[in-house]
Amino acid sequence: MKIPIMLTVNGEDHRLEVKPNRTLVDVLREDLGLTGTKKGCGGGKCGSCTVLMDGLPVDSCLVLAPQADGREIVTIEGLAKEGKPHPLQEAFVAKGAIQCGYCSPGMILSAKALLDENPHPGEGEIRSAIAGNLCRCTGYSKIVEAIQSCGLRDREEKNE
Amino acid sequence: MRIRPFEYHAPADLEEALNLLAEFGPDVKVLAGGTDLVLAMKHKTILPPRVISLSKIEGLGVVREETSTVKIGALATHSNLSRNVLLNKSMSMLCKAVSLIGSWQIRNVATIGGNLCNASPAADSAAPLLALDARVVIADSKGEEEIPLSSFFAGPGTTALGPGQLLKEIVVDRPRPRSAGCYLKLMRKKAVDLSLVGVAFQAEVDDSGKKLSQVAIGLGGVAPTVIRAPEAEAMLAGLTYDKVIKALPGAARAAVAATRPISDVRASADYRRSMVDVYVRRAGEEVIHSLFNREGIEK
Amino acid sequence: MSDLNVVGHSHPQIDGMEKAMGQTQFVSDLVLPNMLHGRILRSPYPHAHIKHIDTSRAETLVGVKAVATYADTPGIRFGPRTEDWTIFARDRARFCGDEIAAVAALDEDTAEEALDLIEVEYEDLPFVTDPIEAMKPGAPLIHEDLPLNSRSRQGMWMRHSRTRTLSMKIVITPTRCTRPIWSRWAHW
Repeated sequence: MKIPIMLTVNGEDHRLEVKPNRTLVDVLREDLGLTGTKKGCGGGKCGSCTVLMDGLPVDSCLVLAPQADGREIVTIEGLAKEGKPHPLQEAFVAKGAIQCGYCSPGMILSAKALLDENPHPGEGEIRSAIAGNLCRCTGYSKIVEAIQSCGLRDREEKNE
Repeated sequence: MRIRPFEYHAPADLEEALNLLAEFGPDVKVLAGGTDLVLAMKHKTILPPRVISLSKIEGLGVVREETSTVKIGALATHSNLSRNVLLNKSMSMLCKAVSLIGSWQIRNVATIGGNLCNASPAADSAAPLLALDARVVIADSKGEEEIPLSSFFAGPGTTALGPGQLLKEIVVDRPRPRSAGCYLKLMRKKAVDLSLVGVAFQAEVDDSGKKLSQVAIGLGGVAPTVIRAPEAEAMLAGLTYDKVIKALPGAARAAVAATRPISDVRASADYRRSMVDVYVRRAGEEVIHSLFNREGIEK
Repeated sequence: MSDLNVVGHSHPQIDGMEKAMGQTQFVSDLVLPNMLHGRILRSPYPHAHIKHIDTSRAETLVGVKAVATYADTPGIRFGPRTEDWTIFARDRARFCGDEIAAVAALDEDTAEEALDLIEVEYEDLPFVTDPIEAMKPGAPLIHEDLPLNSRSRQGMWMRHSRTRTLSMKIVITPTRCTRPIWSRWAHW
């Protein structure tokens, strides 16, 4: 029994018919071909499946596809504007916050949601915000620096 | 991890949901945020042939103030609750507790109703609500009933909800202005973990401002359900500041005596008992200092 | 140094931006024509005799293209230092997660369902989870040809010292060693 749903993904509306036993991460990756969102633990612990749903990070592996009906989803593919990377993406590369890259899409999206509501977070706030995004490679220091540098940068730009 | 196929229903309002629940009988699960249910379905520990999602129903996640109570809609997410202005003003202990659940991603989707209905003995929203003498409103197609939260939990993973019933909202008496609470959660790591032990300490001073008039201690993760520690509470009620500070260690030991913790992969029973002692003292000190340092209250 | 264009300059990671944009294709992102999807059946027991494997129900599931167990392999033993590994468990599961069987199917759902249809009869065996306990006489043997569950320790030390730099000091203390020499391969 397929359920008709409407997902707005990265600004585009998609009308889909989905079986209810499918999760949002599978619909994004398989039906929409957006493989930037990754599958890791499948149980809402690693955060590699993080997408923004109505602006807030969620583990898309635990969201049933029909639950996302009518919501606005932002995946990693939706951050760059007309090929120009988001400042967070620039910062992650500049600070060496990416090694294997598997956690990066989810991590960057959590960071974006944090900066959207708190443009100048302290280290504790950053670590708390990304607590649901596991990274096996970097040890998190560079990731925190990258996110902090986006906060600082805004402050510097405002002071100019 | 595939999820076995099931019938999905998304009623537009509460009445429709309750009618469906009545019609479907026991072979149905109610879906709130899904962070517990969807996970269980992936692990195949719960295999419901039918799921009723509450996601389309408006108004079930609202926090509102009435004359003498605060009502918290069951579908309120932990994120929204942790930031709710009204709750932070009147019962910040609850806000602190739900802000410690899972990760940001989980808190944006998981609901307080789901947390209570999942009925883990370690549920972080439960100990504070129990310490606040909360009541829950259970709804079915025939009407609504309000019962104390203390009667809601039957055992680990089991609630008083029967077939056709769902949890609609949580009712808490507005704490008096001269009250304070503290929730401490012991985890194996700094974040994103179940609680090994959860201690909620709520107290208020009487009109003179010199004595504690009410003390409530809620303990999570140390018994088949979340529990209170009435003997410990009785040891502290009615005492002045000096006497309370002296009595606190004894009360903490009495709280430990009220627990029946198990040893599991996360912690031993002994460790849990030790930490109840530590946390009741710590939370108690924080609350007492906060209460007696307030303006106009004598130390 | 100004005429050098690599040394002395900062170079961003060559695939950094691609990863930041989510464009990198990891193995699970690949979609190839006529691709099958595989799943591995793993032992839930840390040590168990595999008495019998019945794959017949999995094989007949619509969409399943192949089911394999040790019986389908040439039984070659391999390993980085010790050749004690076979691609599937031969007679015993030796850890939780040991590969028992594999399925290839048209889609992931079918592959997962096929795993549920493979019937394995296990006989629980005693197990050890501590390296010191594992070396005591009477401890359950992981491999029949490795008494006390260890290769010659002297051999291991010597092999190891050849690969170390001269500045390294191997300190042997009377206290219990909590990071035994073989732990560096523990993740395999």
